[in-house]
Parts: sequence; C-alpha cells; structure tokens
Amino acid sequence: MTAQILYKELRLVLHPAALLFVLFGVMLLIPSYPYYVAIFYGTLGVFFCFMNARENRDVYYSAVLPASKRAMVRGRALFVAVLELAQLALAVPFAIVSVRINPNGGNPVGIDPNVAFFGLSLLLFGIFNVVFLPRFYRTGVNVGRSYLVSMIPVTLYIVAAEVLVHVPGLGAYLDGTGAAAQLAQLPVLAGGAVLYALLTWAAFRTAAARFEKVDL
Amino acid sequence: MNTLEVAGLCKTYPAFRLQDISFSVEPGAIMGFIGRNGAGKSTTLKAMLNLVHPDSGTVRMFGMDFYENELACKQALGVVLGGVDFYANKKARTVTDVTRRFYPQWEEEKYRHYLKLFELDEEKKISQLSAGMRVKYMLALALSHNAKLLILDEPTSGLDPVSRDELTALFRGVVADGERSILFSTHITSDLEKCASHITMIQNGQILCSDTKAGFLARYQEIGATLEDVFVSLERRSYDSADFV
Repeated sequence: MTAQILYKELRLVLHPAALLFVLFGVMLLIPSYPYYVAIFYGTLGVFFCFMNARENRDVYYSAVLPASKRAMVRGRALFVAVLELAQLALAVPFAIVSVRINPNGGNPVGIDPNVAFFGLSLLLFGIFNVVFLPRFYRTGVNVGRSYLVSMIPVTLYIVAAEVLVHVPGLGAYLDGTGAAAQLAQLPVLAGGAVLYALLTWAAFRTAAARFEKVDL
Repeated sequence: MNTLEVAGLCKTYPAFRLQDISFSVEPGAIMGFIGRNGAGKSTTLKAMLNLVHPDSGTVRMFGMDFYENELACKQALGVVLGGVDFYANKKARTVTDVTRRFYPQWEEEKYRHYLKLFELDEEKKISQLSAGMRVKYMLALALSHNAKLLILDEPTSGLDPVSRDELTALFRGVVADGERSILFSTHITSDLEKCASHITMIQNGQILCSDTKAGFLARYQEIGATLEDVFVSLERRSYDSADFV
C-alpha cells in the first residue's frame, strides 16, 4: 500500500516549486556563501507540497481510499524523505565542482561543501522533520504555523552549525576539503545519516499517532 | 444480509450532538438521507466512515464490522463527500491513474465503458468538468472497482434540474442489479421522489424516521402528501411579526 500512496504523492501532492528546490544544490556553486541556505530551500519545497495537498483537499480524497490514516502519514513521510535525499544526492556533483572552482579557495563565510556539510545537512532535515510532521498532523490543517514553528530549531541549528566551523580545532576538522580531510569527516556523514533516519522515523510515529485521533 | 447497518452511533461536539443514529440499507436500495442544513447528515456519514471518531455505536458493512475491517470495507465502497473538489487542477486521467492502483479489483474495461457512457473526457481537468459531470466521474471510478455501496453526500445539490433528473435515473440504473446500494444525503426532496426506495430523516442530530418511502409517506400522511410537504411541515419554524424589532 505504501507504494500506491507514494505514487499518489508524486503525481498529485508534488508541487512544481518543490521540484525546483530539489535542484537547489546548484547553489553550492556560489562562491563564498552560507551553503545551508541551499539546503534550507528543501524544507520550503516540503512546505509547498503540504500546502498543495491541503488546498486540493487531499485529506478527503485520501480518507475514502482503502488505506489507513497511518499508512497515509507513512506515505507522506516517505515522500518528504525522497525529496530531501534527492536534493542532497543531486547536490553532490555541485559540491565537488564548487571546491575546485571557488576563486577564494575555501569558503570564508561558512562551512565548505564537503562530507561533513552533507552529514550536518542530513541532521538539519532530521530536525525539520521531527518538528514539522508531528506539529502538522496534530490537525492535518495548519501548514503555515507548523512550518514557522519548525523554522525556530532549524534556524538555531544552522547558526550553531556555522559557529562550530569557527571553533578552534573542531573548525579545522569540519571545514577541510582535501581528500584526507574529507575521508576523516566520514563519521560526521554516518552520524548525520543515522540521526536523520531516527528523527524521521520518530517524526512519522508521532505524526501517525496524532493524526489517528483527528476528526476530519 | 443488509449492505449497511448503523446502530446507536453517537458523537458529541461542544455545540452539537449526534444521538443514537440507527438505520440500515438493503441490497438494491436507494436510501435517501434527508435533513436540513446542519441536521447532522455529513457528520453521520463521516462518523460511519471513521473520518470522525464516534463516541459509541457500531457500523456493519457487507456483514463485517466496519471499524475492524476498514480497508476491506473500503475496497467495496464508493464515497463522495461534499462535492468532488479535490485536485481540481489535475486531469481526470491523472486522478484515475492514482486511484485505480488502490483497488486490486479495478476493471479498466468497465472504466472505459463508463467514460463512454457518461461522455467523459479524461483529458479535462477536474475543474473543467461541470458539477454533474464530476459526480458521473466519481460514479465511473466507483463502478470500475466494483463498489457495492455508494455513499454520496449531497450529490445533486447545485445541479440544474436536467442534470439532477439524469443522475437520479442513473442511480436507479446502478442499483437495478439488486446487489449495489446507494446511500445519499440531500435536502432536495424532489430527487428522492424520483429515485429513493427508502427514506431516513434526521433532525437535530437524531433519526426521526427510517422506513421505505411508502411507509414514510403513510406515517406522515396527515401532514402532507409528498415528501416535500412532509419535510417542510416537520421542519418549518414560524416567525411572529413581534419577533422583528
């Protein structure tokens, strides 16, 4: 049933703006730029899709289909993960090119687009999911408010992640773009991936339990 | 075995109470579910379908407990709640392509047949279909996955008299096999005169009467000869000139 629901999300819920934002990894080519901004656009894409679903009364279309509310939430959470992971995957080639062509050498205004950056970006999405999804499914209606609430921890996290790069020692570890430096950053990527999976799973569990109680 | 049996359905809201809703629908029946705006028609349908969680009561559909066999029941159910206004900017073809995947029993041939019968153009966006066409489109979807029970919330409201006449004739055709049934809520009594075999009337969240149409009319013959007369007599409030200050 999950496959059918995911198909529904891709055909009906997916907003064109979200597709555009999935390609925003191209922003990693901008020299000397706070690259988390490019990742942040991915959350905006998710917001557009939820708005699209609400304005098209997806909940009433879906509610009468032979699938449980829990399955509907699972499908939507998976759809969000597909968007987020696609955005990160498509950003990889731009990250590789970016570190080679940046006229300033490294990135003086923030973290370099390196392996650690991708790990920390996964965590960014995880934090967004664990706040946004459960908040939204409390009513199944309040997209804007849920998004605004989720932006508080996401913004704090971005600030914290950029500050880390300036912490002596830790900064040197997180900010390198050489082959050896990036290999050394692999644990950050793995840690980000594990936390992303855990947070997104927790987001689905809580969201599904809450949505179950909602009177449509 | 009745297609649908609703018993003792209750739901309390801060400003509204659905009380002890019970009625049943036989195979081959067209049950008209009438009541004024706000009487609880939509809430009853939603509570039956578990979109709204009832405080108590049971719903049996096709011999199964609905709440425990929700997915199996929904496979044999066609539902249109409050107009067909979802995904208005998508083509009917796209909505069909998504919908049919949820039904293992989907018969593409039947779907093509109904498209032709209803003169539906799949390439049109939902928003480009007239209100009557949208109901026909939903019927085509439901009939193509062999739904045995159609639950329609005010399917004829807002339609012109010709479309309404066409649809009521269509409803009769749908149940003619004696297996399918239709439950539809409406406040347009003339549509029920044309096609309903049974009437359930709801007033302020309570069932006033649920009977065959003939039984319903016989019961209220002293206050009116037609459904419309009975409905209006039962519901009308009168205002005194002193009420207007």
